[in-house]
Amino acid sequence: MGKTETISAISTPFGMGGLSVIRISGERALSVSEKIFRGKVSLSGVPTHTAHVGTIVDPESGQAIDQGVFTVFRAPHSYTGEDVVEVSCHGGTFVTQKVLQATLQAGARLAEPGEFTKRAFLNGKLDLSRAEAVADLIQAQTEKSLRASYQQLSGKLFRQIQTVQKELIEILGFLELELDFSEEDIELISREELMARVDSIKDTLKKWISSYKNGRFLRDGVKMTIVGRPNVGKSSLLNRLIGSDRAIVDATPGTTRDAVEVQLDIKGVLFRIIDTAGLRQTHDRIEAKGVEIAQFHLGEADLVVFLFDGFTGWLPEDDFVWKKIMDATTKSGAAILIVENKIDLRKNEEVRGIPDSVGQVSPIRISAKTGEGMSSLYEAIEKEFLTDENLGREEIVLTNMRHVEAMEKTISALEVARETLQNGLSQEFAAVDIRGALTAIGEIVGETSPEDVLDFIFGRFCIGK
Amino acid sequence: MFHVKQSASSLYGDYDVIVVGAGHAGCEAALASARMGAKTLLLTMNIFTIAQMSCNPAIGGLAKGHLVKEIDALGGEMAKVTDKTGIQFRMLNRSKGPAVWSPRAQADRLAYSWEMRLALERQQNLDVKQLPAIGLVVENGEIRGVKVQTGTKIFARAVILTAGTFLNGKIFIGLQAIHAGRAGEFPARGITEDLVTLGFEYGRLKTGTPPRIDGRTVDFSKTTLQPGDEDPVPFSYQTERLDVEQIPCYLTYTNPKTHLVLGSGLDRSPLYTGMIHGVGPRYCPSIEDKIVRFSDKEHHQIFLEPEGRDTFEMYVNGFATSLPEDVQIQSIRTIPGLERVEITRLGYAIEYDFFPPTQLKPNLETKRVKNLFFAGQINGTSGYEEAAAQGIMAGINAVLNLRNEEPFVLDRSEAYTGVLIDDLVTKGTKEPYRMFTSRAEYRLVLRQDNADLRLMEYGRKYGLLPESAYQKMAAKRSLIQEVMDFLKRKKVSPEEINPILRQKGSQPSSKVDSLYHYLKRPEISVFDFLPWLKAMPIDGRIGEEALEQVEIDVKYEGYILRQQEQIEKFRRMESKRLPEDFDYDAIPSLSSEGREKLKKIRPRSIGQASRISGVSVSDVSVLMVFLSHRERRAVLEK
Repeated sequence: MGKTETISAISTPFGMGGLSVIRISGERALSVSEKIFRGKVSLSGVPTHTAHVGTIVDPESGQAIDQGVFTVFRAPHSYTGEDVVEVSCHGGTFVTQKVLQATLQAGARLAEPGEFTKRAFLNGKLDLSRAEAVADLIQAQTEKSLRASYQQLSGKLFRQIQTVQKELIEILGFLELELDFSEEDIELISREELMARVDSIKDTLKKWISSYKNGRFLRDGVKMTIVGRPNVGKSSLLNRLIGSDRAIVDATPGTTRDAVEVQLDIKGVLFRIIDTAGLRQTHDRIEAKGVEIAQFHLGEADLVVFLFDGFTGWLPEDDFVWKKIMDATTKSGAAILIVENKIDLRKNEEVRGIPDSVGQVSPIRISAKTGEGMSSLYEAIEKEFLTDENLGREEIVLTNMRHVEAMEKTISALEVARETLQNGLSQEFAAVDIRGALTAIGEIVGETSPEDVLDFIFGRFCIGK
Repeated sequence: MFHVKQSASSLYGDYDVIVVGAGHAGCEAALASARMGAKTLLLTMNIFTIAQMSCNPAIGGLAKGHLVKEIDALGGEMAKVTDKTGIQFRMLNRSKGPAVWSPRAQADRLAYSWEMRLALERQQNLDVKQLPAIGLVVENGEIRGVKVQTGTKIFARAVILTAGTFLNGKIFIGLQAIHAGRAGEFPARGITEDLVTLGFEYGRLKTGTPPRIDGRTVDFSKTTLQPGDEDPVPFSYQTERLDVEQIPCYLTYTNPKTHLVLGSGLDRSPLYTGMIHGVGPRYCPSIEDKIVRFSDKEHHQIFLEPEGRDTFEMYVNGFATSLPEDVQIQSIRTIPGLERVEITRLGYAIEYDFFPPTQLKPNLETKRVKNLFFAGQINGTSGYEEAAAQGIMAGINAVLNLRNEEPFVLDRSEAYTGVLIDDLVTKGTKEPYRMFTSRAEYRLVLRQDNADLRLMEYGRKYGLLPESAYQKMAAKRSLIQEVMDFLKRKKVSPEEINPILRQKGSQPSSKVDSLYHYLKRPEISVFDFLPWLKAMPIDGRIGEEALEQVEIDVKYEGYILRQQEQIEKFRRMESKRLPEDFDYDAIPSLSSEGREKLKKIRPRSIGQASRISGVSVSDVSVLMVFLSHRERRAVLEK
């Protein structure tokens, strides 16, 4: 059926289940998969209906995202009748979205609602009697997706994107004005001004895309990792936070060998709190595994709560943990709170406080056991972390990957248009990509037509003899 | 070549095709039909106003010039008549890229009309008669002929209505309204009424025209001379060279005093007192509209254009008005150079019936009445060129229908004509529709310079284009290929190329490279390579045009290739054809708005369906599923 674009989407229900599947379909399904796959084989060479374990990587940075299983179905023996690769990764919205994004970066485009089924039908993979059901599914999924999309766009964001759309129409209007109405006696704007206007739209869109990162907190929750050397009371803190005895709390250091995750609502924001194994140098193989997991969660965290024992004071082991935190967070940019626990225990002797190497900071002082000081911990979380900026409350928050994709397309079209303007080519060449930008942004807030451009021109300028 | 069914004998004999109205649409329609061998009758209310330029005496202009070139490539007449009767020629937008260059000519109004009349008279199979049509003969949903003023019925197997502004035309000068198709001419009555009885929807549109003046009463010393191009380019591919003495136009401006006088007449304006109900074109506002809507603008351009070689009358372009006569006379005399001007004809507004073109199929045949076609202003367009383009398409399609052949539909990637008709039948129009280059999404490849390459195959296929014209295009096409191949193949050393590069202020080269490679540089032209090209037949107009094509193709290759990719994608959707009897009610999952629109427009393809407003992306997906369902079932049943 001619050249088809390669599409990709998450095919498991959103945010449920332990595994997620991202499905890629189309002529370039294998080459797209190849770009995000690091394993023992080359996917383009493997036979159909085979599964391959490997690391899922970001195609641009090469950074690992997750471990996954890539199952290859070659055309026509697949659901859609095209080449299909299904990538199974560990569930959880964040990782799954990242994998999906990687497939898009690798050259797939986000599938339209019901598109896999539509392709399956068009390629003769589904029984003729299914036509109606397929059509219903397409309509239903479109509605659902539109509803979700509009819900995710606040009224404010919607209006602001419309403003960008209007601005693009104006820019196109100015270009067209010089082409279709060059005989008219009207004032035109300079190329420099046009370029400046293109730049300003680009900047706005880039800012919005970066808000996708912050918007994520609202959508996926905040990943908060509690770390500390063994026996500083991490699990007690977790229990205090959730008010139950969920994690195993034992006075023997190193009890919590695996990571424990609980979810908590603080000020309307979902916190996914991970209690990790105590961090220390160890030779115990099982404990070492726990330490490795702890380090992994440290790298993934949005907020790190570093706990030390106020009774014993800051020990050399704490330096070791601190160093691990520093290593992990300089890369991720996570926020850190330093918390001193066990303030209920009377100190026999003067102990060491936070060393100068860490900085002039005063810890948040709590007792996980009695609950003393917990309110100041909540306050600190709120003040340090739940900022408007972090939550994107004062600005635009994008939470939908479809919107991000559309904006990225808009930006790249604008970049080409700008270069065309810069190179001094005639207006109709720049117009091609400004139109491209309008089409892309139209995927979010609705299409525009040549009439809209003419409306702008006739509304603004006195045209006609 | 056709056997006319004798449903009744007629005084005038029976025809294959009758064209009603001899304006720009009607002339092209009649010529096309007759050239295809159909026995054709062209009816006009007045044989002295054939191909009349009701408004300004000019052909072409931005985007319209493209249409004229396309009509010419298809084998139409407009370009040839313009070349013969033009009095000033200009290529507009020369400072822009090649895609938006557009030819425009001032034409001699009377000479144009007579030249077109002569072309009609010379045409075999074509009769021209002055007989006003007052009704249609329709039987069982099929057109049978027309009824003329004398009461006689003339029978035909197809009818093309090209009624212009004449259907219930009403002109306004101040508060005075006169029933007229043009100033001094009768309106046409009866046809709208018949069509409404048949179930057609209709609407009212409005347009206007400025006063004409006596050129001897103009003080040209107060105006700016606007000469034609020094080296005028002909419109028609069949015109070898233009050998005309050009007459200039003149430019002057309105001023605040003009606006004051105009403003004083607004209380007697048919526009502002609500007498006119029709919608006017925003791109062609009257002068009173300009001063009201853009009150901060102190000057408006006024072009004085000669009406012809053998008259002193001039057209006051930019001063369209329907204000009362005293206001017209007083205001025009405030304009520099026109202080003592005499108006020969007053400006006026005209309101007329049109039929929303969504009632047409892409071949311009009405959906309601078989073999009845509409072209031109009756479809809500404005402009001679837009009308003529529809006319030639309607003429061809009427004959194809009679032959039971596939309709001739140009798509949006092939021609402005395709854009025009697709817009009309898919989206309709709210104001008089005019072509703009911005309406053509594949503008970079739809150029006025390549209309021959794009369309002459069709002109030849339908028998409209003389073989000699086709052969010239074929020679040009192969020369383009030959030169292109050569440029890519021909490697030149730095010693060979550097003198040229230096002369053109281009960075000297240090390695051997192809000429094609150097042609990519903006400052280098293919004409710099003439010494290498000498062996090829590059002399004369064909040679020059071929080199131009090569230059454009190389210089803008990146953009053109991207556009080609978009076109490929577009064509895939256009090629998914929807049958005319497709039952949209049988598809429950269509959105209700989408279904209504689809039932009304009855798109020809999935591509066209996707351009209908109100048909969503998911509706299109659903359609594709059902289309495929239908096709697969058909295969199984075989």
